[in-house]
Amino acid sequence: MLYLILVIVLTAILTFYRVIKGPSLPDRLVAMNCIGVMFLLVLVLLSFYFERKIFIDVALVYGVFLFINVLIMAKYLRKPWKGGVGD
Amino acid sequence: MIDFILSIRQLFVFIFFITGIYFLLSTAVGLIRFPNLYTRLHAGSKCLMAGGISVFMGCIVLEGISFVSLKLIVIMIFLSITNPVTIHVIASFDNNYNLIPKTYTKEDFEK
Amino acid sequence: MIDILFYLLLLFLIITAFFMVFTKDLSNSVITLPLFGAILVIIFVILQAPGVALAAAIMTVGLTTAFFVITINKTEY
Repeated sequence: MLYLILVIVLTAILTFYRVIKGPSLPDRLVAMNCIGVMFLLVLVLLSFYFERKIFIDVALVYGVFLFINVLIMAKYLRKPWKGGVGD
Repeated sequence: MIDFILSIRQLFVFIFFITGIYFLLSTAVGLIRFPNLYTRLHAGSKCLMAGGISVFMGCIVLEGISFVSLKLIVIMIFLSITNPVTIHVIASFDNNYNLIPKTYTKEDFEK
Repeated sequence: MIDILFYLLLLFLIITAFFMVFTKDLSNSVITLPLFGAILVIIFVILQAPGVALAAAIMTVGLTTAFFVITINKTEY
């Protein structure tokens, strides 16, 4: 079980390369969504590793707020920010 | 007999987890290696959901029938509803960022 | 064995924080903020504190990032 969690965290670190070196903002947003879902899987698997079932509630609340967060970013960052450097 | 059923359950859990690991690694490789925004959206939508649903199914088989597996089914259905909504919203505002794909088809030159 | 996961997450936390401070554009910085919060939630879960993890999941992942995004959208320099 713990090797699975280690491999998923290493996968998230690999995916973070796209957040650092994304040419535009939607690339970074897609990579952020992927890392968020991978961390939700890590939370569920840690609940099975420690055998405390209260940790699944943390994963449920985290999933709901991740969805709301991405929707708010997609509403307000729809056009490029005026004061930005603009890579 | 009970020992046989337990070994069958362990085998299914192993198969589901290996499938989930394969799809999550393919998600990371796709997000690093693909050249374009739309292909990255494709990697971030389908492969990610395949890996996530595989890992959740492995956890449900490992747990059995209880209240915890009901919570896992709720999280799985919520994730499979909201992730396509997120990918569609991200794909709908690429017109404002001047993203021109580098590969053209024959129909683009005829316009 | 759990120590390797813990130190790996701490390393990832430091990488995320340094990228969030030293990047040029401000919208890149605000995209990286929920990842920081998510790693913090996992560290609280490993340290056996589910209440603090729930509070951090609501505040850091949800509310703080939403307020920062709305505030950045209303400014031009």
